[in-house]
Formats: sequence, C-alpha cells, structure tokens
Amino acid sequence: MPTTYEPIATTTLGSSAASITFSSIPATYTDLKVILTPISTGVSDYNLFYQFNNDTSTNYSRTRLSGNGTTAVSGRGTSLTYGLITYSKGFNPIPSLFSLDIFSYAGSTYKTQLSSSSVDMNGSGEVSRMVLLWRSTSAITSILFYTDASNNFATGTTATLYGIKNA
Amino acid sequence: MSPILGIIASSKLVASGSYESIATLNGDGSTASVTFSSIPSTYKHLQLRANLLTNTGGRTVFWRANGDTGANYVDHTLSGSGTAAGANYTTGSTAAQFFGAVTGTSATYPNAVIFDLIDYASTTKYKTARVFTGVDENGSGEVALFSGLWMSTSAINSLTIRMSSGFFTSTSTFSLYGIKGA
Repeated sequence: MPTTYEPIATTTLGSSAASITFSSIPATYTDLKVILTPISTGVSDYNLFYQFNNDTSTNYSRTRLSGNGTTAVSGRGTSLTYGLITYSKGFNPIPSLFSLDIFSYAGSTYKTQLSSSSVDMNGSGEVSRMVLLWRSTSAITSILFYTDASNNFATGTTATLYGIKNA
Repeated sequence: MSPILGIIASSKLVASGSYESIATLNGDGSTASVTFSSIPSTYKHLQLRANLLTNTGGRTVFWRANGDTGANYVDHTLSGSGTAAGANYTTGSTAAQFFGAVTGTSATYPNAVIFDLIDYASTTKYKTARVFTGVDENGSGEVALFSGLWMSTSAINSLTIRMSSGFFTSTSTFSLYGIKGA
C-alpha cells in the first residue's frame, strides 16, 4: 500500500511575521491538512484568518460550535472576505493548536473545510469545531494565513501543510 | 495584507509509512449506500474521509459494520446549528450516525466527514467510532461530533455508509485509510 499522508511544507518562524503563505501547492493529493501552533506578539487574543488563492471576495462562510469553559454555543458567519478559525478566544502568547482539513481542494466543486481549535490559558480558553465553506470551484494552489493588524505571528510559530492521497 | 513569507512546496517528501490508503468509493448517482468490503485486519485503526453530496438535502446518513442490522448501535451527539448548541444520544439503534445531526445533508454544498474507527480488528472489544462532520451553506448548515459504539467483539471486515433515503451523487467520494500500530 502506498503511503498517503505526506508533509508538503513546514515553516517555523525565526522572527515575527504578519503572515504565512503556502504557495505552489501541487494538485496531486485528495485532501489537505494544515496544523498550526501560532504564538502572538501581542498580549491579548487575536484572530487567525486565511484566504485561498488570494481571493478577497465575499466567498467565505462558517458554522461553529464552541465551549469556553462555561457554556457551549453555536453561531455562523456569512459572506465573509476570509476564512476565520478563531472565535471569542483567539490565539495568544501561549501556543495554541489549530488544524484545518480541506476536502477535495483540487476538485471542481465548492470547497468545504473542517477546523479544530484548542486554546487554554490556565483559567480561560476555548475549544471549537467549525465547518467552513469557500464558494469557488477553482483548485486551491495557495493558502495565506494572517492575523489582526495589531498583532504578528511570533518567533516559534509553526505551520505544516500535509497532503492526503486516496487510492 | 500581503504575504511576507512564501514557501514553495518541497519535492522531497518524507514517508512515515503508517497511514495508508485502502480503497476509495464514489456514489453512483442512484444508490443510497456504499460498502467497503474485505477490509484487511492489518491496521490498528481506520479513518474514513468523505466529501459527499446527496440528490436532495436534509438527509441523515448512518454507518454499519459487517452488515449487522441488529439493534447493536448506540451514539452520542454534540452539534451546532449555527444558532444553538445541542446534545443528544440514542440507544438500541440498528445503525450509528455518520452525518445529519440537525439540518441534514446539503444537495448543493459538499458535506465533509472525518470518521475514525478505533481498534476495528479486535476480537475481544466493542468498537468505538468518533465522527467530525459539517456542512456550511452560507446562511445555514451544521457542525457535529458523534461518538458511536457497535456492541460486537467481531473484527470489522466491512463498513457500510447508508442514507435514510435518496442517493449519493457521483461526485461523492469516500476514502478509507488504515493507520498502523507500532
């Protein structure tokens, strides 16, 4: 049996950066998976945004389910200009864990994603699961991750892109 | 915002060898189910990744092991409808949930599923699955987590994914992977 879960690219920031981009993504896989452990340069909670193929149109939406240690809630965002993995508790100076599964990224249908986020700050935090949609039939060839203008990804932030190939 | 760090995908791949593709099935545009049969027992766990569309929306989808139609399945659900979080459970069911906790499938927007089946080849333990599903329709949709239990100690050698009614379109893809143990 062929091995089908392969790392495509990894970045570990040696200095702070406003964004991380995976470009020239080959179309040879079935699904993509991104694992991120972002660290903020700022002290508060920051959003983790992404865009495919530099698309800044209102083609993104999401439905979320999250728990903040007290209550479980669900909500949605429609006709957004970005994908957004974080909700009320963004990433912060303590490393958080985010994953993004992108289904049939090279296919000709709209692109559905499933995201998972885990943020804990020893007394506050949030766990979330989301389904996200990019209303485009284009194959995904690049992914841009970025954060709020008042923040950067700090040194030590890591992001790895994997390809998953079916038989 | 412009990217300041560009990464060209490396052509040098590192093969871990522990996650392998077993088989892929597509909907045929007329049938309510797909079945993986003759699943080898050489892996520790299974993962099924599905990107599916149904001919009409609002459908629920279930899984069964080894063709067992007895009341041997139970499951728990944690779901989000976009307006409220909910939880539920069933007992004594003839199948366990795969998709459709709140509004069900979409006929327009791809429904995504990650299904993990733990220790599927054991002959001494019941079989537990965890499922992460969702569909977003830019104004409606659902996200859900399921646990599922098949109360049998038989090794699983076939797995059926079945809709409540209707059929999977031909663009639906079901990919089964094996995860090796050490």
